[in-house]
Amino acid sequence: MSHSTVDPQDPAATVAEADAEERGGPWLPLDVAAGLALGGLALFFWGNAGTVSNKDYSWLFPVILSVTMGLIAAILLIRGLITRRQPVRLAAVERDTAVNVTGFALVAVIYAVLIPHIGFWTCTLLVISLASLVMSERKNLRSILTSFAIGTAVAVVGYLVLADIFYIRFPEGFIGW
Amino acid sequence: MIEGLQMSLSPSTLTVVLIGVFLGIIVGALPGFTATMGTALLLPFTFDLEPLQGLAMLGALYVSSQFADAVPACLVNTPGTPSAVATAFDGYAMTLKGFGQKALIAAGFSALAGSVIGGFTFLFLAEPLASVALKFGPAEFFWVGVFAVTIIGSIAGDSLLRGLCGGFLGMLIGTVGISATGSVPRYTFGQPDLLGGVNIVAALVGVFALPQVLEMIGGRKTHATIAKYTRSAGVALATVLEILRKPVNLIRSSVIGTVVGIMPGAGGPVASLVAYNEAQRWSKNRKNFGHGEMDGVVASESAGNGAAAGSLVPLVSLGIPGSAPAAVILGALMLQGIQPGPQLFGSQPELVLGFAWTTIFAGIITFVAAVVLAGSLARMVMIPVIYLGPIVLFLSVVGSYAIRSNMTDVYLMVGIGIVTYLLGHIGIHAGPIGLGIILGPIIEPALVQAMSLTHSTSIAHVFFGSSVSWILITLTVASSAWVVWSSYKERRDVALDS
Repeated sequence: MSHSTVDPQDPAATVAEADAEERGGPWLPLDVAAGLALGGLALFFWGNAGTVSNKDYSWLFPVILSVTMGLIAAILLIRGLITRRQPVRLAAVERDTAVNVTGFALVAVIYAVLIPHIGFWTCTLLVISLASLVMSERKNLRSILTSFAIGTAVAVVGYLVLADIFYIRFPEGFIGW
Repeated sequence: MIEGLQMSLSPSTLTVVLIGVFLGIIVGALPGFTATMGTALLLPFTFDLEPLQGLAMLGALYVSSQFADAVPACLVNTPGTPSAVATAFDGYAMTLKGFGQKALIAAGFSALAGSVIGGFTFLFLAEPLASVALKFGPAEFFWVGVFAVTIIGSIAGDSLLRGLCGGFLGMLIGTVGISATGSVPRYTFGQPDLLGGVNIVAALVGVFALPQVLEMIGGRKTHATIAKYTRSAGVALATVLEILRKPVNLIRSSVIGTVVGIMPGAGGPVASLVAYNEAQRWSKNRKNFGHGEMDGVVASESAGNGAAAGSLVPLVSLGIPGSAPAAVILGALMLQGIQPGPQLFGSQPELVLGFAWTTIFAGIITFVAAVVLAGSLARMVMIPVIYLGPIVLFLSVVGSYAIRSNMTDVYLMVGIGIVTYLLGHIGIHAGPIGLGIILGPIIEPALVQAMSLTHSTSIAHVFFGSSVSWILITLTVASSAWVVWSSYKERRDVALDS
């Protein structure tokens, strides 16, 4: 997390803009990108909110939040269009990084989806072993054995601690483990 | 008081305190596992114990888990419990700089200070402070929540507006499900699985853990590690002396934690965030916060443990638990046939005072454990990312599932994690979103209850009618003004420098 404050006249921002333009890819000022994303989210929450009445305040809090968020998103959008600082390069992510991140996010989704069907511990063993193996640059017998050993160790130790000591029941799936 | 001390020093009581500390460290260190879950799991084992021993074991677990939640927060930027959100801001940055062991020892010593100050408050001031806590109604809690929102100024990153939006988004995530005040389904889209809402712990794991793993994976090299570990002799003593050279931060944060802990409903997460905010506000090194400033870890951890001890004050003096784990401890008291409340001080003073002493001893034992374990735990950063990433993913899934044994929480954790990762790349950081997730469930019920009170009287009377409200409003205005002024000053300084 970054906590630094960036000045509108920050030379670093200017350099980044020049860098973005040099690379040739399309880019957006950071505030515009954030304004669009937050505006979309605010619209989603506001659009799906119910009505607020004097008898029922269930929607009061979400409506206050989404409207305020929408207003701030609009301010960000306008500020970004005027100042045009801190560029977000749309095609600037390195290919390897994009592949790794997308691949791992997919692994997380597949892991979550498969757990109820295959069984938690079996799925854990398979996913951890395969994820480690896929991310290893060298795929040889040693990396296969190491990945499998780590997957097995995590699944067995996890089972002993969580299921045996804490009595947490995990989905068993068709395999039963 | 001496009788209580003697009872708490008996070998059998110290043994159960040790067991409680040990289990608390496991529970706190596992992301997604909370002190509430740990105390609830331990509750059945206290039936056969003497009342003081049963309470001591649960109290020790609660105290030590408040330290142990700093372990994953510092090492992999994943708070073990919601109380460690602020610890991660600087603890993880310290780890990245090779000071993981130092961060853990600082967390352990701060936890000890919080336990001692909270414990002594419990011993000497339980009754008067608990009666003050009763002055807090819905409107006052609403203002506490609004004051806590000003913390976003400290953790927003480079834009206060984007930070605010992140906080609002976190609060909106918390509104999914049946509303607690009107039983109306919100943002459920006809999905029965969403009626139960988004669990706070699962959402926090999604906000902090998964984006962190994706960051690790994205920037990895073959067998790269997240940081280097260098063994350094005498680091424990040096760290303690360094903390003691700035006693104000330690004492202020512990007192903030204790006071916030006494207020039923606020708890450790709010305490640690408020203390972190104040530490940054008064620090000469405020620019270093978020970049590995040890004072940030000290503030968060001492407040977290102060809150744990503080939440026991209204429990024993009024019979009102100050936090969820305190509610489980209340259950333990009642199962032992003991009715907590003002009369307990008169009828069984040795039990109350013995319990207070055991929380202090638990803090001491936890600090010893922190010193012994810090070096070994800090070596975790030497695990190559290609193995650590999948392991953190596993812990995230376990943590989000174990709370309610519900796969929907896992799906939501993954979804929230991916969205948070993407938002992080357009300047909306995880910190404010996590803060919103914590504060939403405190602010909304207070707002709705206060609004309901306006049916019989005016809005002005409800929200501005008490001196406590005015104190909190003044603090909020002062805090907001400080955020705006410091931001302006920082921009002006940068402009002058360039």
